[in-house]
Amino acid sequence: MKEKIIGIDLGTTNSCAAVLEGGSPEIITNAEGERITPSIVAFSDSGERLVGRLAKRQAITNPQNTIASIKREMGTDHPVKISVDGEESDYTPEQISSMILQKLKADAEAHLGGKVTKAVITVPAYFNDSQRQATKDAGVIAGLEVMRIINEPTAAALAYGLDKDHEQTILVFDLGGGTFDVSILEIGDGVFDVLATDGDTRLGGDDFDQRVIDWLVDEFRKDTGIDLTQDPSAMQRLKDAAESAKKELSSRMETTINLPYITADASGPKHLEKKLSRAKFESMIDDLLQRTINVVDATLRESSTDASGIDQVVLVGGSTRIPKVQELISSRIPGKTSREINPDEVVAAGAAIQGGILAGEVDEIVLLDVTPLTLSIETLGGIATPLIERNTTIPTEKSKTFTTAEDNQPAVQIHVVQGERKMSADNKSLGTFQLTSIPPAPRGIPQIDVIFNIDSDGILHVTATDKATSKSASITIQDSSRLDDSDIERMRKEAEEHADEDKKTAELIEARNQADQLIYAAEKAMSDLGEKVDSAKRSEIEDQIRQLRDKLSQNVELEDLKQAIEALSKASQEIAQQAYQEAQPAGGASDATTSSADSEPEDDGEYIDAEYDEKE
Amino acid sequence: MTAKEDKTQTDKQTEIEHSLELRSEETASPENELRSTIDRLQRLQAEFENYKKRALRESAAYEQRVVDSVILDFLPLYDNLQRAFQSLSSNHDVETFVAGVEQIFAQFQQVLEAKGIEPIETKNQSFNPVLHEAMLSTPSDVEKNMIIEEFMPGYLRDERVLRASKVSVSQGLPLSEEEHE
Repeated sequence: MKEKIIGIDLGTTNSCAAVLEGGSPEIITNAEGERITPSIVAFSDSGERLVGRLAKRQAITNPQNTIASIKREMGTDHPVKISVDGEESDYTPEQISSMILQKLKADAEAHLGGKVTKAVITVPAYFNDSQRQATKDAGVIAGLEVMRIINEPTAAALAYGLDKDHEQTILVFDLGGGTFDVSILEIGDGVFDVLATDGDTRLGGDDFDQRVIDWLVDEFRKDTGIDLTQDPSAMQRLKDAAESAKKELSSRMETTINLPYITADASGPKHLEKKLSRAKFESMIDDLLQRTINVVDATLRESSTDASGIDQVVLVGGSTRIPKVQELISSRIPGKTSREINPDEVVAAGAAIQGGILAGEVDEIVLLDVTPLTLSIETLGGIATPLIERNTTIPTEKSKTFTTAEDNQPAVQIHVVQGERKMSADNKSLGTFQLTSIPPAPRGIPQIDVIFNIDSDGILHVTATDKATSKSASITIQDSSRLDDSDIERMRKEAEEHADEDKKTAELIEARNQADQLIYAAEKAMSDLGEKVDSAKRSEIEDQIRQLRDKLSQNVELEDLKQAIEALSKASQEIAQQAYQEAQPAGGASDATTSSADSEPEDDGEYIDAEYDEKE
Repeated sequence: MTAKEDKTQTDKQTEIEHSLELRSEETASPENELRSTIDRLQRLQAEFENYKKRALRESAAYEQRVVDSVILDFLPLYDNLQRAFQSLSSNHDVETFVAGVEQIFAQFQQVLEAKGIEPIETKNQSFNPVLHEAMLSTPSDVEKNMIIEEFMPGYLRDERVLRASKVSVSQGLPLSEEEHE
């Protein structure tokens, strides 16, 4: 196995590492069990070096020897002065960065269970040569061979696979915890060209939190006259509450900030309870958001492009989860916005992909296609029974066992359909074929294996085999995956729109099938037992059968039908048992027919529509 | 050409044709082998990818069930609090209300204990970033680096830090003028 090249997003506030596994990027969790690591380094009094979460926790007690945001110093020769136990030492920004990288490396090694010596590291698009060199040097100090330094926006584009699309211009909007960057890239033939980049190095999610904190402090002062800023414990609780309120407002229209016993005065304990609506929050951060849009405009000007020239916007950074941010961008740039990948992890994921490309891993792995829509066969009552679900990677093979719907049914018709609708008729028909010469047998007895096999070219082979005779029939469908994107989209939409009614229809048909089978089984059990069934019981069951038949012919509602099924099922349970016991000494195959009196068809025993449908 | 020669000739030709056929079969067989190996490899890869998709779906469903079971453990506490408020609003008996809430609190502790959760000690402890998060650093006559106040308790779950305690840490005594010099 080739050595893995990890991808590292070495950020100002947080860092993240990822690796390509089985062709797709996986985020590496650190020793603390988190997917991102604070970019903070500290030296404790005992000279111990702390990196990440632990360094962050002790920052306040040890401000002189705690270093945050070292990324801002990369490429400068400002020494970082550390004094441990009266002993002073100087570190370069590269050395401090290397300590973060060393932790990420160690965590990656623990995750992968082997040595990691190679990495791709990302830097902002605006980094100059000396800043890039410094980043590379930090890697070398950490014991990493830096295979490549790539731009953060390029990594984001790689994570979305935009290099594989046609030539296009994209805008990467990166709003993190404390920094904001906008880059415009031109992508073509795997080459990424940065047309323009701009940003605000002191703008991010922390500023949004601060606005909420300020508002809460103001409101509390108005209500109680108490200044919470004088109470560090209360301020800490406010900070946490503000951040979670912000996050909550990304998915809800209103949230309640509830902080009981936030503080106390002479009159007793005080509680804080404030409702914050999304609209109110948006108005609080409006000027900050306007600043981001101004930067977008400036970047567009610099790149000599206008909004209509942008084919795609990629969102990076946790703060892009705020709906208003997304709204502002899409109103400014009406093109497509990509935000499916976790915005905190997308840069590391892209770096891991670049690592995979450099390691030759991407070439080795042939990207496999997926089935765009579900492939099913039509079963009793016109239901589409899926064999291969949509989004299954091909080549693949799936099989299911079916049976007949009529006594002595000589043939079955296999109807292959494609789509997400519950009823076969609503899906696209791909083809039909027959399996004939099924030996005469009561319905439900023959076992017919249906195998769906899609090869790597998307060609679907469907084979039906009668287990008893091993006789089989098959069909080959050439264009099972050759559908227009717009067709696929339309079919999925239709399925979503009709989901409820389709489900109801399918349930009704399943109940009808069940009723039909139950009547059959009950009648068969009675005829098998003959005189052994006492006449009162017989007339009771016959009555129930008649009622159920009536309901079937009257096309009653599902609930009504279910009740009648339940009634017959109860009435016939006794004779089913009797029939079973009768059959016991005889043993053998006849068990199956009699014992089915009170059983539903099993999962793998679905009924295929009778080909020569005997008319009722 | 004699009839015999003719026959030999034909025989030879058949022989050559036969050996050619064999050879072509020989060359075809590695090709077929390669094709079937590639197909196997692709099917294995596809199976792996489908497995990953299924594992993802299953773990999401599993997570839901885990959350469900945790919620079920806490719902009785919620129910009991509701009972406490109902009883208070009907009989206005503050004393029994407080006693009730105390009992619910004990029940709460029981649930947490059963889940392996224990509080992180901060009293008379020196600050340790593995367990504690410093919110404030203040001069005091307590020894430097000792915890002087707990703002928010922290918890361990089976010896893993679930939430670090948020604390205020002593800077020790402020340096006097002389010491400064």
